[in-house]
Amino acid sequence: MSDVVFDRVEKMFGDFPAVRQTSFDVAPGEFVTLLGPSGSGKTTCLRMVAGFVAPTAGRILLGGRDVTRMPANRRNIGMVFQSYALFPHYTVAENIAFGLKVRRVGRAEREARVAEALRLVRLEAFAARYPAQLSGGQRQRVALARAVVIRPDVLLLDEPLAALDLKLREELQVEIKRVQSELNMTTLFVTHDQGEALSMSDRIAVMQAGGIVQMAAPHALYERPNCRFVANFLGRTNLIEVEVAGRLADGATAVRAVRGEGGWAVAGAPDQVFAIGERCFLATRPEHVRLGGSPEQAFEGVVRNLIYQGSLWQVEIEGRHGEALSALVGAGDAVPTRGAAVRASWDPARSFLLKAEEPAM
Amino acid sequence: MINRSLLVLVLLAAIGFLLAPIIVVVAASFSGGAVMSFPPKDFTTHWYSEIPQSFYDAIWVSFVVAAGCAAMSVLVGVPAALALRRGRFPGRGLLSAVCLSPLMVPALVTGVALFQCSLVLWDLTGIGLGGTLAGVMLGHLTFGVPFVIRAVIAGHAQFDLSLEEAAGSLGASALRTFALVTLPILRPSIVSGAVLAFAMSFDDVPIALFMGGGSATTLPVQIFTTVQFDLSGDVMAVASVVIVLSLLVIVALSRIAGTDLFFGSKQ
Ligand SMILES: Nc1ncnc2c1ncn2[C@@H]1O[C@H](COP(=O)(O)OP(=O)(O)O)[C@@H](O)[C@H]1O
Ligand SMILES: [Mg+2]
Repeated sequence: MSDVVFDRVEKMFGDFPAVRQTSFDVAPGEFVTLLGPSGSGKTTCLRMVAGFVAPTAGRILLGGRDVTRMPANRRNIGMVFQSYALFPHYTVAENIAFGLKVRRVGRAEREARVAEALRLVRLEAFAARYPAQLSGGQRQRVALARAVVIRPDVLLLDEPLAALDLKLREELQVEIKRVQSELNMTTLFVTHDQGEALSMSDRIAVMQAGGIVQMAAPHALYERPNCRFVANFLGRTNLIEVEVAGRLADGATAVRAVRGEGGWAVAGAPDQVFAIGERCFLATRPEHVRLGGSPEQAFEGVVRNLIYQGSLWQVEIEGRHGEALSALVGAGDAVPTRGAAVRASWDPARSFLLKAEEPAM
Repeated sequence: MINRSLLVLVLLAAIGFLLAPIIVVVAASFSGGAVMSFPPKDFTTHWYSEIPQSFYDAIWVSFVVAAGCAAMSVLVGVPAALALRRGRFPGRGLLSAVCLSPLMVPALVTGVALFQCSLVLWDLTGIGLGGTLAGVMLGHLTFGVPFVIRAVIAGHAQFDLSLEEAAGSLGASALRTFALVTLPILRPSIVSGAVLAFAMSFDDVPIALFMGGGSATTLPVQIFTTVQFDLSGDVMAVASVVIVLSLLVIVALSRIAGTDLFFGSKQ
């Protein structure tokens, strides 16, 4: 049984569909992330689970209960906001105790659980402080403690790290993940940061324009995006416009460039059906492209730009017909100069095909 | 950068300008001789024993009216401000303007209008508000309520609505959320609105002139009617008593609520 079930849920604001008929579920103890660009409907989904927004259609179940029409305060959820939303007139301990007080948990048990929650987020020394006396990272840890101390059925986090700087963000990612797995807390997390999503989630639902385009485990999503949108929202993907030329003996597909004379093999059975002659995109990640290689799996071009990234060089190659390819070259390897003619290639097993048409939204 | 000593000079001038009348009044209250004089002729506390009972009665009336006005303004103004900020109904902007408009109308005009209204009310229902504490208090609500509304709206601008959602997610009902989160956070704004309502009520002449009288004569009206005929030391003594009382109230309030209170927002 799933802890959170989102059953054909839809939300209209006037005649604007913020969330279109969307279904997904979160298993007990699972960490699911809604990932998507700003305005894709992530927050609206989360707020419907929380009970702050009522869906226009569909059902929401929490722990098997239908909560679609239930007010937020009866849902037993823990929510963490981007703005922390700590009560400024209460101390850290009082903030954490709030949900327990409202639930009329006795004083002794309340104090014990607050102390335990403070220990969990390592803020024992800050119990008597007011939120204004804490740093952003500390505030969000208090907010996390306040949300989990009530033992919610599901923990909801809406871009909890967006207001923090990079270093703190990484620290808190680890912290949230640690607390979540220590408590085995069913979690629904919202972010527009793909790195955050990849490193924290058990599964990621990629959202676009109010719908989920793909939902999968991080590595599956990264290795096999099902459309160009996902391919480029999670990391970068080289896309070359090609046409299916035929099938190869080993089950691979042969494709040839629509512009220019390149031709490549794409290993493995594609996830979707591609007809001979169909126009589509050959996709390969920059980190799988290497310079040199055999002429029959090659992309010939000129180095247009070199971008230094510390441990890597990003080499931007332009083909004769304007088609672009990006490769990541280790800083220790031979790096070409700008303007040099190069040949790049990749393992056919490290490439895949994507439909020309994006999934209808 | 502006010259520092110039700034200090301007500040001193401003303070002097504000304090001068107070100093004159207090000094005059200790001055012997029949007519008020400054600098004082010879020192006496005689005027303080000469303050007529009617002034003490008027101080009490003013205090009751101002306290009642502040309390009623909060009771009406806080829900009104929240409705104006949060409600979604047509004409909200217009209604906001209407709620604040009494502050733009000269109090004398409001006083005349209220007087007329109280006559109409008397004719229609037999309820006489003129010359009663309730009448003056109601009259003062015409500015007390807008002051509270204005203060709460200003405070509400900084209010993070996700605080209420957080309380809801933690299990608090709407009522508990209001009592435990919304109200405490808006309290400084509410208090500052109430203090203003109190002070303006305590200060008002025109409305109290029309709505009061008799046993409902407020201190400013009492002073006003007295000095029309006679500007003697007992009035200075009353004024000095009021100044000292006000000072005590201000010190007490800033001890309790901080000096932010008088600026309406936290800096
Ligand atoms: N209360 C609302 N009224 C009208 N439109 C809204 C409201 N809330 C969100 N929207 C719209 O719905 C869309 C999705 O919003 P949101 O769920 O906040 O996206 P995200 O969190 O992915 O950035 C946006 O286009 C937004 O403008
Ligand atoms: Mg959002």
